[in-house]
Amino acid sequence: MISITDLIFAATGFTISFIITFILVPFLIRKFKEKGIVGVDVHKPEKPEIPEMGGLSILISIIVSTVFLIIVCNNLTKFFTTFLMVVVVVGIIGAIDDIKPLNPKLKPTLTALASLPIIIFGTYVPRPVFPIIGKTRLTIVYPLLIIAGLAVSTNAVNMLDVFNGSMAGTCSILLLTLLISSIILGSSIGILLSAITLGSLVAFFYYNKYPAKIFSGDVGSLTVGAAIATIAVMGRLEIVTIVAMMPHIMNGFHSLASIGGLLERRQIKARPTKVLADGRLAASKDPKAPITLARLILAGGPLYENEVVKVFILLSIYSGVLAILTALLIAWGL
Amino acid sequence: MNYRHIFSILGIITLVWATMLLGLVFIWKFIVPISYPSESYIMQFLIGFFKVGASGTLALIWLYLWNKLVQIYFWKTLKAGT
Repeated sequence: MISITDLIFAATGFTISFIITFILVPFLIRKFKEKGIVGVDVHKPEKPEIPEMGGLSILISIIVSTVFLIIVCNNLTKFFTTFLMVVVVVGIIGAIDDIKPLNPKLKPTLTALASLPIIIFGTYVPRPVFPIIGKTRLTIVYPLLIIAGLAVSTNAVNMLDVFNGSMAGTCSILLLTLLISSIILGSSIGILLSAITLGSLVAFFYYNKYPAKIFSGDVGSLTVGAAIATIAVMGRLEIVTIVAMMPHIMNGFHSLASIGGLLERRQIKARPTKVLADGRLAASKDPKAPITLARLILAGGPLYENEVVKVFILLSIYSGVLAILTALLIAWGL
Repeated sequence: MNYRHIFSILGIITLVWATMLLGLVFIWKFIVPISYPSESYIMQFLIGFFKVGASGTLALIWLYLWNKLVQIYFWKTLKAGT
């Protein structure tokens, strides 16, 4: 059951991670500009150079606020330590990928292996709860699903990090959904971990929204994806998370299905979208280009980058509503 | 902004959500309870293997249909816009 103490700690954790990210990002912008750690914003006609690896602020704020939770919540130390281990390992993988791009098949393998602390420390319950069905027992299959789930979640979040504010915006909605669902389902772990990750992402979104002052890089997107998957497993929010992640899953699934396998973004010759002379984005008509969520949205007509992100966020809000409805169906025992 | 197109994407999400829940219920109510009156370990293994295989096949069919629906809708919308 959720206590008032949980809610106070969640609010404190949210504030800590929000403040750390909010203060850290301007510092990182200056440092990365000095060191030349920049990426080209390809969706703008003038192609500006923007500092990359801003997701480092997300990783640092999550580490600090999780340490805070370890100190104040003695009864859940095992869960928070596991969360910390998974997020740090995946964050390091993301940082390495930002510095020296990893093989497109190696990245999901490494992120999948990062889930091992959850299995080793036994911080999961192999009885996921579904609406209508109720409690199920997946003793043998569940650990395998954790490994696959972490790889899917990290890479799905990473694949939607294509426009200014798209990852931070959609994942903020997703984490808010997990927070509300945790309250509905009485998951203390879900509330505390969603709150700290949400705090960090909301602050990052402020700088990453259109026109972006900083990019998150793989260090940010993989960290957030790992945090979401770990919250889903340890907070027993599996089905709710799958529903809330629908835009991310659609983007990853249809992209991979249309190009027929795992390829790094830079390896795909045919781009899914193109920038028009007036700055609007249009869907590519190339049959070899992947059917990403952005391309699917732009099939309805050209849009400005910020409009595409607004549609992403709208789809995330809608999926969030369906996820909360799913949580309510579980809570009511339907 | 093409609101009709966005509503169609929301419709696809709703359909995927509803069929996912229905599929889970179908698997849980009709495939998981399948049993065979035999104490033999080989028979138990075969029954378990069949259940996993049947559920997996259903999931793959569902994914295939979802992908096909999106592909058909995407190309139809893109062609209609040109």
